[in-house]
Amino acid sequence: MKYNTMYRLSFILGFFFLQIIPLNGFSQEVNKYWVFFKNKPDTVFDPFHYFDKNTIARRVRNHLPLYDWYDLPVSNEYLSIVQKNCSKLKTHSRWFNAAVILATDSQISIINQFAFIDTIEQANPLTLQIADFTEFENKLELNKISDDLILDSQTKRMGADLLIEKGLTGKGIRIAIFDVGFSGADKHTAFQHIRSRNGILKTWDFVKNEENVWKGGWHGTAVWSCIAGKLNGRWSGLATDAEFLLARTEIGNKEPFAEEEYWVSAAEWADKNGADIINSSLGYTDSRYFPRQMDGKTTFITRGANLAAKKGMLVVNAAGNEGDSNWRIVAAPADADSVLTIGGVEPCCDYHISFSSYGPTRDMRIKPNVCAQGRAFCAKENGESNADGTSFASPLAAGFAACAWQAKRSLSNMQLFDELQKCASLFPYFDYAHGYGVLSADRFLNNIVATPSFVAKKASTTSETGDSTEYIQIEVDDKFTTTNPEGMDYLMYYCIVNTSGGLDSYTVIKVHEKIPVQFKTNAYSTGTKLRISLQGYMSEIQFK
Amino acid sequence: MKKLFYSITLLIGSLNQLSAQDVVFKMDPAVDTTEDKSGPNLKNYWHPYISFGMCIDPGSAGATVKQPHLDQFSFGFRYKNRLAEHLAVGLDISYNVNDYSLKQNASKTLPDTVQYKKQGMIFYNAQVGAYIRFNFGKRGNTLGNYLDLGAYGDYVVSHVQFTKFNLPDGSIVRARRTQLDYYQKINYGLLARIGFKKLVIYGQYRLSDMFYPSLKMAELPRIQAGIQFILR
Repeated sequence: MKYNTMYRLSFILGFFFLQIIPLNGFSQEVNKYWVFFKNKPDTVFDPFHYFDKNTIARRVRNHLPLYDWYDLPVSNEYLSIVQKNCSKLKTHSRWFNAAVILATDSQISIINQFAFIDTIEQANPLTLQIADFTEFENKLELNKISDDLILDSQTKRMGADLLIEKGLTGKGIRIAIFDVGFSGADKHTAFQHIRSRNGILKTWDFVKNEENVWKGGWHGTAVWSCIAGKLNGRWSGLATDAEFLLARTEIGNKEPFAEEEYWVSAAEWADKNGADIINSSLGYTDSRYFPRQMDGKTTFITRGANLAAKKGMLVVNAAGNEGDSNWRIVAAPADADSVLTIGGVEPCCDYHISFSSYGPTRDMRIKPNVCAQGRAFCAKENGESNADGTSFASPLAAGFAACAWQAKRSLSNMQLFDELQKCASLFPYFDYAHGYGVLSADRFLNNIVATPSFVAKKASTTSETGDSTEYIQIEVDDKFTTTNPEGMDYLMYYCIVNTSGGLDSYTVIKVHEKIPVQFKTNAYSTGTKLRISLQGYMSEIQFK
Repeated sequence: MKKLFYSITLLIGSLNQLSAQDVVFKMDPAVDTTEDKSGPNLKNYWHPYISFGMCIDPGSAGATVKQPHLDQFSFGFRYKNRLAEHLAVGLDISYNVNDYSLKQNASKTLPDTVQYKKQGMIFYNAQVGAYIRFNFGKRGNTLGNYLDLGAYGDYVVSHVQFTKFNLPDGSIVRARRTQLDYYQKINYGLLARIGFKKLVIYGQYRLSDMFYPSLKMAELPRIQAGIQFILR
């Protein structure tokens, strides 16, 4: 019996090891690697043949060369040599001049010997991933605000009426959407107007390597409807006349690292096929990274997103839904400095919706950049629904960006990026929850200059002991002490800026009184600044 | 301590904004962006767990148990101290219940040779375990995929012998016997676990005998395996 027991124990432990070894690789097990090459020799490249004409036009508009080193193909000779020496060549990237391979340690040792190899990074340990959480989780809500009001406000608060009046509907703008899938979107009435004019130019499923993207989940369907959908006879997005490239880059709940490779492949595909804007309502957090890695240069997808922006595309990404989780901050690639990161605000008013991820990035850059409504009425696989998430704020903003670009087509992508920040409701004020505020067509098209809405006054009090205390009092115009035309209180935003330019604190208050807030001057160190914003007017006071 | 300092500073700071404000939103990045030292892939981490297991071996002759049968339930806390990216050590403290359902057959000798309708031996244990963890693959602030190897010690808090049988008149009698003294108070063994984030498959092998060797009683199954769910 003792022998029998030991035999069984060996069997169990053996079973455990068999589970572990193939997943993670001891010396002869296969792992996934990124193999970066040193150069791109002997490559022939004709941009007019390779790129869509829209790509050429975009590059010309952006004052970019028709092609650069990144666009050159990876050397076939290098790929061939690597392929012969690995278990499988999975894919390759022009932008990164790299190949993704499956190889054993001994194969990697051989490949590493070749003179043309720059570096080799282990990409994905082929682990079984059981996702804790996915950004795509829609927080369906039964809430007090009706679907009709949400649908109305999600576009109108950004100035839909004005954009439509000016004929700005994203015409001539090509938008690529990267998502988990577009289930039902091929038949949904919300997109009939796009299908009828052949507005879907290309689709590609990077997960399965096939054209069919009408599967995988309806998150992409919902996102698309927030860019250009028509629900219940009303527009649910702003770029209703744009053209679309639809890519499936997400697997869903499994969330392996490969999704980032798919994203970068899709960005190269979008560039090749003439996309002007990429909307990506996804982000990667603690299943792969630490908050300290949200520094705009570490994660693979962030580096890919920055490269996409260098090609003249405007990359719009959701900030993430981590505001009320331990992670809290924006999720890669929203940390990239060239990505327009979109936070969410409440449907009722212009302050932060609780789940929207915060900035700054770990290297203290402003994120999110701007905001849109964080709760939207959108298309589902069958029918429509009200859903929460910066996943929906991002396409609302992407739709706005398409209209804005149509209006000012000569802007480069980064000029448009700046203009979009400048037209947001709070600009030049910002904080790490709202960025520069909610996008506004009125401010974008009409260069509205805010008039002073308050004054800062000095005041002092003297105690019984004769000690004097000085204050800065903020006194608002009388009209702001009542409610606004929508029946809501006016909101005042203020923040304390430290000497490094970062924010020590930021606050939003309702304005009820003539003096809604005052600050004790001796409580702040020299050089600290107080910034206050009310109705687009900002004032800055430096403590001495 | 750093968080407390920031909190006090900001509390004092907030008192300096004197007015009847109606604050709808307030953030203090200096506090909120302080990175934690405790987390699934940080220096320290603890979490509760529950597990369900069963005997893998049938037990020695005379003490075979019914299979498959849910024999083990435990609730506990696990502490992990990360030493390196792929290496950690830790401790478990748990309370577990081992419920062995004995087969009633002619060869049965534990705890007696009488054949009942049902018979069980239930041990309520306080368990302490220590383990070394090998993590595999790249991961963020998650538990990731890992192999734990370690040892455990059980202290039997109480033991119940349960029998169910029919009387000649057909009535059912259920009997519970406690304060028995044939079992050893302390047991120990080896453990192994394979974890995929919050899902763990575990196995344990009891090295010690369950009963006093001098009594020469048949031995209950030594190997148990099951599934654990990390609750945090």
